[in-house]
Amino acid sequence: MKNAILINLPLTETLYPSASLASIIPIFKSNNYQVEVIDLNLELAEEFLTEEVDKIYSWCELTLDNLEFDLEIKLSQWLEHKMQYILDDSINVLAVSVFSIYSVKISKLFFKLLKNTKFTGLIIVGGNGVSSNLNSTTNNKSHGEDLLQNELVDHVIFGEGEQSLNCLLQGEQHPGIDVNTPIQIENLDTLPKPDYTDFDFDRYHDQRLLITGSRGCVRKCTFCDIELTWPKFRQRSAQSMFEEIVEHRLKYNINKFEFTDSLINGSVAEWIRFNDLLANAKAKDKDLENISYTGQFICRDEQSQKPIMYELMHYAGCRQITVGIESFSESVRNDMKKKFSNAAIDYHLEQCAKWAIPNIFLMIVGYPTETPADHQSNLDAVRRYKIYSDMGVIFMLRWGLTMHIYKDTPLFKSANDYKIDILKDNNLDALYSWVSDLNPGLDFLERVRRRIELHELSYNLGYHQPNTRNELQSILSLLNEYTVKQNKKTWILEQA
Amino acid sequence: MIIKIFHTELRNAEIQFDDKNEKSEIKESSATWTLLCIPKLVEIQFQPFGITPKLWIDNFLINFWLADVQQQDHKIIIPIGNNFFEKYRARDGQGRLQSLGLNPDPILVDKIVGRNFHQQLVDEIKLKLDEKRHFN
Repeated sequence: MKNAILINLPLTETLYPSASLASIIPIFKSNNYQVEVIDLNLELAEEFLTEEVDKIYSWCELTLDNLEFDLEIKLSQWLEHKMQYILDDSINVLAVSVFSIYSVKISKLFFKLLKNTKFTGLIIVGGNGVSSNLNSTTNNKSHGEDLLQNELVDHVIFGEGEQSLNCLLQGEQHPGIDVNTPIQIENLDTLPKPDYTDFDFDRYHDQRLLITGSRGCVRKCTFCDIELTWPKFRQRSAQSMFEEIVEHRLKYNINKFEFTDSLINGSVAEWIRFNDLLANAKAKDKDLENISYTGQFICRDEQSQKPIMYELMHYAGCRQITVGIESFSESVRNDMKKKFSNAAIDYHLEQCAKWAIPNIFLMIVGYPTETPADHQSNLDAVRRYKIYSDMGVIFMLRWGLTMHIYKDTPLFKSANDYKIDILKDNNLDALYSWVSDLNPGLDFLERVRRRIELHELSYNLGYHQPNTRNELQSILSLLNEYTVKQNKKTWILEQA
Repeated sequence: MIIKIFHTELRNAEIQFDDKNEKSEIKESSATWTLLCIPKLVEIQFQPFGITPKLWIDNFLINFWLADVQQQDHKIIIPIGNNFFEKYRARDGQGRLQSLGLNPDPILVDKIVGRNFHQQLVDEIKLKLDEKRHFN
């Protein structure tokens, strides 16, 4: 009989099962729990209308302040209905994954509603979202600390969950349980392999499994907050990653794998070893020959990443990499501390063309130091690299929601150096509405203008741009908020 | 245009286009030809029969389906022409859409294919930008 329920809250990917839950299932099972997985993220996408899902996603992504009244009621009733599953007396533990900051709003609603039920079991919440803070300028408490303070949950797991959760289930203390001072797991090879036996693969659009090869990043990009989650970069051994892929291929008959790593090639040596192992195994064993993988990749120059690495990736089954290029202006990338040149991008594209490795380029429009000339560099590069788009090497180009600043990133911390007053242009959520006195022409409106110009050019040249509808809708929501609040401000001034 | 094939067992290779035949020396299991024109059709015969060589055109590793390459036991036939890259891109887009099945969810199409201009949204955003500038 099931005695533990694991819930995946929106907003996460709907294409494949939650790796967060799969990674803690072995911990529950090793403590003699029988688990059931409820993927509310998937069920929401399945059971709401497309336009409702859009609005809920915008709300989760913080680009929409509030849901319309009717939709909020519908969402609340839907969550209450789903909670019927956990009110069974046999359920001792409810574990909820709050994957990121984009899960925080719905998790607040979820736990508020859960409080009104008769559930008496232990409520544990974890995931990166519990360390997030939606009101960073006014409140220093993390979401997890808020949940504890308001007695909406029994325990919060901060940081990496595997060891903390195991201790919690055994009644032991461990850093990261209920206190936001987690310690990092040093040796990732010691963690149990994720367990997907409780997922119904047929419900997911894309049958693939996630794999984690490393945690953390080898760079300290100014706009990125990954260092808050994982201060130190840790890499699994090539042998361990290889064994997990082979085991999961044979156990679940899944051929497609996606690395969750911030970057798969953080350790070039280990990455080459892994691809060598997999390429050799695929060449020898027919059962393995269809294995493929995708992941996030860092661009480096030829000295650091020799052509052999790309060749091995091809033979190992690399089907797509996502690369944070961020800007085609070398000057802007230097300011971001991306640490690669324009020549490195050219070399990377040449190698990917040679070995048919498709790229998703992640871009940022309107970094604080981005001048009109830097924007022109973006436009020029979109024209120059058209052939790589035509040939599928730049498989997709993602321009995003324009530059936004997360709390505690290096950029946030050096806001004074950039003369960025986070609160000054506070008509919107502070994350998007910043302006730098060093580059005052680049306000939110100019960033949106540049974003739209890049969208138009990219579309006209045939680039594929994923999630554009969602992104443009979010930008429009931000603009609407901007206008409404600006009007309100004027109205208040007029009244005064 | 540079055309190259590779296979670990490749022994001989000959290219035919516009009534011309050119053999190539096999170096490190590969054969390379530099064409000074863009032929409509290229045939590459190779030995041994029955292998599937990798094919590069202008240093791009070519997907046979996307390039509409026909493979026979002893040769590959590559339709090139002036619009080779445009056709390649078109089939790529078509393939991405087909991979989603019949009547796919528009959200999924946007996520996987991403080839929609979203005119209405763009117009609305531009209108808002104009309003805001005017307001300022």
